[in-house]
Amino acid sequence: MGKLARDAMKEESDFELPISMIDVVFLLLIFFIVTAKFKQIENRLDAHLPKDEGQNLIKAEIEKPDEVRVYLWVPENDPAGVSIGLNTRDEVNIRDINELADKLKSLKASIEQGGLKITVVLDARKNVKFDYVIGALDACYRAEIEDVKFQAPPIPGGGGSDWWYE
Amino acid sequence: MGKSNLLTWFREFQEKRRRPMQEAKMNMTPMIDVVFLLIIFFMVVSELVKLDIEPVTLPWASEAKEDSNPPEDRIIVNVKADPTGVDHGTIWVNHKLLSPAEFRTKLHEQKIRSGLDKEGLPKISVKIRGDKDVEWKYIQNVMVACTREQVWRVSFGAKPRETLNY
Repeated sequence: MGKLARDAMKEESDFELPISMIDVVFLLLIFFIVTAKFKQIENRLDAHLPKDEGQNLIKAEIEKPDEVRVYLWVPENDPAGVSIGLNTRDEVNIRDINELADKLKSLKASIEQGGLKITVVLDARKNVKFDYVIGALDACYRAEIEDVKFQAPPIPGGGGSDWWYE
Repeated sequence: MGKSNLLTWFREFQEKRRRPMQEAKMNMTPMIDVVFLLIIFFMVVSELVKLDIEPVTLPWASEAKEDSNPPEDRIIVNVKADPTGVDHGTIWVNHKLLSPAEFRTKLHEQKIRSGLDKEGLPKISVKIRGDKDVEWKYIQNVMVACTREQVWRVSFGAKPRETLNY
């Protein structure tokens, strides 16, 4: 092989990158460390809706002896809070969600003593924060009540609850 | 020690001092292997794109179950809260903003695609990830659409918590 050819080959093999591979690798590593988001644990509360189509017409008054209604509304003096009424929406007879769970437990025991199965209907006004509705649902599950229904909003043509509007 | 040995020793000592110290060389190959492994680890654990989850603050629930085995045909519906009011109560599915009517249409299409179960009811389920500060009426928009489509398997996204302080 001639001297010129050998020199040319040597020039090709002497090609050097402007940045070393370890620097590139470290940059990639830092990028992925910074952008990594670990999966957050999320839980769920099951809430089965009616299986037939449309909203069931549930009257506002209590019809059955095994049915308990939990009313949730926004108090006038605390727009971010909630007032809770058990079987009444005219007065606040439950202090907080924890007390609701205890009261539901004792109600469940007394209803089941009569051989019936308790049903809870959650009736919340439209402006109640979702946090409190979930709290009420959670209180039902803490009281080991599985049959929980939600009061539907007013249906065009009648039915539902007009109390929801207020 | 004789005079010649002392001289020899002194000459060797002078030579060692003059000789430049050998550079300590580190073999970089194993370090690059480790760094590549770290990169692959962070690439695998990071989720760069989450198609179905929006940033919402979920409500607390002590009885919420771990959502580790979600059903196959499930739609995740996000209902956002927005203090500015622009996106408040809006419904988001797969990063798309939907009106209640559009959501019902999408639900209907998904219901047909997924088919029916033994009872003749839709197989699909819906998980509602509502922000805790959103009003109940916005969540009810989603629930009413589900009820109209006979989608009865509904769950609410919640964060686990041992005790609740309301």
